[in-house]
Order: sequence, then structure tokens, then C-alpha cells
Amino acid sequence: MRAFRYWILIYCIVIFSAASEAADSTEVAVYSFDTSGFKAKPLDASASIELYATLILYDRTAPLYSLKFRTGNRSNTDNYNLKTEAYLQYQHKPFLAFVSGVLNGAYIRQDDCLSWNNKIYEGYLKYTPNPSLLLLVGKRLFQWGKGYAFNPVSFAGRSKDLNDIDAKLEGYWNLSFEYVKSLDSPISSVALTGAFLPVYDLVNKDYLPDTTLAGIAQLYMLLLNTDVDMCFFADNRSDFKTGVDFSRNIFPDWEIHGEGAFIKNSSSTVFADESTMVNQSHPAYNLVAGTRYLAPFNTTFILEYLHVGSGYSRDEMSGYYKAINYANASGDPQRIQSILGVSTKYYSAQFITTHYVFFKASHPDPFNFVYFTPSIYAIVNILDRSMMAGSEMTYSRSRNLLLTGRYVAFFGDNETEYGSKLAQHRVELRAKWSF
Amino acid sequence: MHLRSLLSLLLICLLPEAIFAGQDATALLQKIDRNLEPDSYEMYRKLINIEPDGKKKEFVLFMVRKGNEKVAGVFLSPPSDKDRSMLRLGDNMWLYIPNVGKPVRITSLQSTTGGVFNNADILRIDFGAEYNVEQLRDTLGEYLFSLKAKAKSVAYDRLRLWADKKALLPTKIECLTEANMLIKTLHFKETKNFGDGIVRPSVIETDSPLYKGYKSVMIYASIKRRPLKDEFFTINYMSKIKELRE
Repeated sequence: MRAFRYWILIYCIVIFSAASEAADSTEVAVYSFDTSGFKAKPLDASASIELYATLILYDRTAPLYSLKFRTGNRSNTDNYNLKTEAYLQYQHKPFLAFVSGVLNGAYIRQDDCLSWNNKIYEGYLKYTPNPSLLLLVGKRLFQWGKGYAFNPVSFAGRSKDLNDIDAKLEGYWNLSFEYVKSLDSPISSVALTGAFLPVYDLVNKDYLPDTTLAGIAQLYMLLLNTDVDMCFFADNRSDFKTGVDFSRNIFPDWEIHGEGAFIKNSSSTVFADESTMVNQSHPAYNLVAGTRYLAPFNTTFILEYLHVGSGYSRDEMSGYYKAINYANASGDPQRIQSILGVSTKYYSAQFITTHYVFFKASHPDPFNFVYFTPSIYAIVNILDRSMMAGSEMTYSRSRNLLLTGRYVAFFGDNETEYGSKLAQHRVELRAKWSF
Repeated sequence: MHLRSLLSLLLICLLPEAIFAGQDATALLQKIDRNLEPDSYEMYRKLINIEPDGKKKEFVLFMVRKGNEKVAGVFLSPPSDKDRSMLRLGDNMWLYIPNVGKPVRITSLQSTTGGVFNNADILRIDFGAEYNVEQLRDTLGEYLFSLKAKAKSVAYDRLRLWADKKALLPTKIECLTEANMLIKTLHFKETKNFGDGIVRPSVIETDSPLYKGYKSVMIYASIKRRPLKDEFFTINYMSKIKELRE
């Protein structure tokens, strides 16, 4: 906690420095622009270093608290992280080689441990014989869908962290193609993307549970000023998913979007009783209906309704809470470790139950304070009436530095999704230096 | 006789300048559009936001444009915005952020850079594509166009555009709301010969009563005619616009 106070002090100094420093030169009399430094070069690179500290205040009444800290009396924990991201690309037309990755370092005070990990986000070789066609082999991210918080049609994507929605995500190894065509018709552009994703041994091992070869396809159209996608997934385990999404500005300042997917075999692991888990599979529909509105006073509002047909029902969540309480009452260390593992693996992802509402409001440059954007957001679990709410402030005056402050709070009864979380309050202060 | 001449002179001075409307005025506006923006070209553009104390933040974009309603650009600087790209097809606008990994729709009145410039300023299409000429006044050295937006989707409901009669290039534009409230003023400066018949202002200064003391500047450089495929102006190509640089 004391270290976190020092971090706040350092952070305030950085903010003050960024606010008082000239973002660029203050020489404004002559407008010079030498473009030679911006012309195409075969080799291109970019990197960022992000330092961030997190303070978590625990909910001591949460069921997971007594499981995790049976003998302790901890009220909070603070973590200090270093995240270094970089990309490197080499272009020799029509070929392009690209690699991007991250190196993470974290000091968790509670455990007094320093840990490091790294991963490649994307790494591929791309061949573009003409503007319409692209062939790619390697690791690439497919982020499909129009939803802001949730993307049912993202059949080869990864879940976004609602508290860090712009964070870079890791792709999957694949062989893919893309064909794009512009037309002089009500469908003004059309694009077909297809990819094969093998799941074998260490290759894409976190994509699907079994060894398989999956195929995905997306057909995009700009139809009468509306973005429309049709998405497909199939693999040699006879699994099948299909979905459609759209996005359109019905007025210049008012956008609507929708997304729906059908999953033939939505599998999940549930508690049959307090100590036994079973796998089950059923067809499921996942849906998103949302809108984004820019008000005349320059505030952007986003509202989405999410139906997660593949999520846990009220009874299935009840089985989970019973299992936690049972493990708690038993005091059996093995059972406790087991339930903590299950909680992390199956019950800590986003949108684990079936009905949610997401809301966000952001207002750039309030009171002419340019480059400063405050926002608030909330995700409400309609099924159990719990909520995660957050507030974020970003400041990007300096050309290299992005400062972010974030506060997240969890609300709900102990036997609800957000009320059962170990954390009750979380504060994050981030400083990202790009170069 | 003397008095009559004096009265005639006074009348000439007080009378409104010659007023045109209709096809002539529309044709003149189209000529201004073509002088300002060639049919198909690439360019580099620097945007500078200047704060009341003189401090500034700069953005550099590589942009391509085709016809009167296709514009795309990618940020090359500052490092925190590098590789973000924007696309406009008529009334449709998208922003691509590499970390997000997919284009999202944006609106003309939002600002991707912060400050006085909004997305419509950065991804501007022909005046003639978005506005009808309500009135054209022919003054001594300049034309004054009064333009009215063709649709509600246009960022500014009304424009008052002053253009040099000889060069047929804008010198000043006032952007107004429907109620004639001034939103911002654009000052076109430093006309430059970019070669290949492209002669146009290389600097546009913008100020706004809504951002008192702030000023934004656009500097145009390396404007080059270039045939461009329609496929470059699709959302699938947004992550690759940077690769179009030569």
C-alpha cells in the first residue's frame, strides 16, 4: 500500500511534467514540413514501454476470499508491471514479413515475487500480388464483429478485456486469403476472407480443446451504406458456427449495430453436485444489439444488450456457488485448490452467464482541456443483478506519452457474478511511452 | 450633374455585388474543387494543434484520394497514433486502430486528433459533393459562395467560401450551423506549385470560437497525381494503406 502511494506521487509528477512540457516545439511562426523522413522504407519498426501499478482492495465477504486466504487477513494487494510491446516489418513488394510481440514483467507484492513472460502477438508472411488479393501464412489475429463489448461472430478472435478494450491481443497460426472487390452497384464493396487453423500439439493449443483442423470464412459487403458480414466456422470434429453482423449510421451522429451467431455444439463444464463436474454440449445463440450516439454536447454514448446463449444458466451458477461453499466448509486443502483452479479456468472469463447490458459514456476535451478524455462504463449482469462499473481518464498531450487512470468497482451479492469476485475495488495508473 | 455622378457612384458602392446562382455558380465551385484536389492523388499532410500558450502537437498522415468521395489516410506520427488509419466513402467513415484489429464507424463531427480539427476536416471531400450553392457574390477580387449542405450528414450546415477570382482557389471559409452560428474559420495560405499542374494553398489555418485561443494548422506536402485502385478504399485495405507509400 505504501509503495502504491509512492507510485501515485511519481504518477502525479509525470502528469504535471506532461502538462507543462511542450508536446512538440513551441516555434510556430514558420510552417515547415519535410516529408523525407516519412517516405516508405523497407524496414519499419515501432515499440512502446508501459509501466503500470494496480491496487486491489479485496471483498472480505466474497466466497473466494475465504478460500484463497484461509489463514491470512489481507485487505489489499498491489502489483507493479512493465509491458514492452514492439513490431518489426520488412516489405519487399509484393511480400511483407511482420512480427509483433510483448515482454511482460510483474512484481506482485502480496506474493513477493517477480515474474516474466513473453509472447508473439502476430508473425506472418504476406503476399499481395494485386490490390484485390492477399495470401498470408503465420500467426494473425481475426477480430470479427461489430459489438463493442462482445463479439459472437469472432470465431477465431480472443475476448477483449472490458477494462482495457484497446489492449493488443494474440492471434492464431493460420493459412489465409482475402479477396476484395469494389463495385459500382448498391453493394459498393465486397470482401471474402478465409482461413485454415490447425490445432495440433503446441500449435493453437488454446484455440480448441482437441486436435483438429478448423476453417473460418467471412463475407463482407458494404450494402447501401451498411456494413454487413456473414461468418462461418467448421472443423473436422463436426462442429459448426455461423453468424451475421451489421453496422450502419442511421443519422450522422447515431450508429446502430447488431450481431448474432448460432453455435451447433456449445460446450461447457458444470457442477453436477458440490464436488463433481461434467461436460455438456448444446446448441446456442449469442446476440448483441447496440447503438452509439454522439450527443450535441460532444459526449459519445454506447449502449449494448448482450445475450450469451453459451453462458451458464442461473441453476448452473448456483451449482458453482454451492461447490465453493462446500469446499469452504470442508476446509480440505486439496478440494480448495481444485475449486480455485476451476474458478479461474471456467468462471472468471467475461460474460459467463446469459444476459448483460453494457453502457459507456466518454467526453473528449471537457472544458477545452484538450487531449483529456474521461469516460465511465458499466456492465450489468441482468440475470443476477450484479455489476462491474468503471471510470477511466486518458491524457495524451505529449506526442509519445499516454497516461491512463482507471478505477473499477464490483457490486452484487456474494452469490452473483461480480459480487463473488475477490476484488471489490481496483485502481490502475498507467504510463505508456511509444517510440 | 456632379451630384448625379456622386449619387451613381454611391449607389454602385452600396448596391450588392453581382449575384449569381444556378449552373454557373455550381460550375465555378466544381472548378475550385478540382483546383484544390486533383482527381486521383497521394499526399503527405501535417496537422498541428496549437494551444493558447503556443505549445503544439503535430500529427503526420499519408493520404490518398480518388474521385469526389473516396479518401483514406494513415497516421505516420506521433508514435502513439502511428498506423491508425481512416477511410471515408461518401457519408461513411471508419477508423482502424491496429490494437483493436478491426475498423469501427466514426462520425464526421468526432475528432480523432483532438483539438479544433474533426474527422470531416481531415477526410474532406469535394465541396460540390456535399453542398449546393445558394448564392454567389462577385466582388472586386473574390467570389463569395454561400453554400448549403445537401444532407444532414454533412458536418457543417452552411459554408461561406471566399475564393480568389483569378486563381479560383479558396482564401477563407467560415463553417456555420443552420442558425448561422460560426463554428470555425479556415484561412487558406501560402499557395504553392506542387508540380504536374497542381497549384494550391499549402497551409490551412483554422480557429474556432468554440476553442478560444486554440488554432489548428494543416500543411500539405508532396502532392502527386497517381492512379489509384478502388480496392484501396475499402475497410479491408485500411490496415494496408501505409504500404501504398512509394
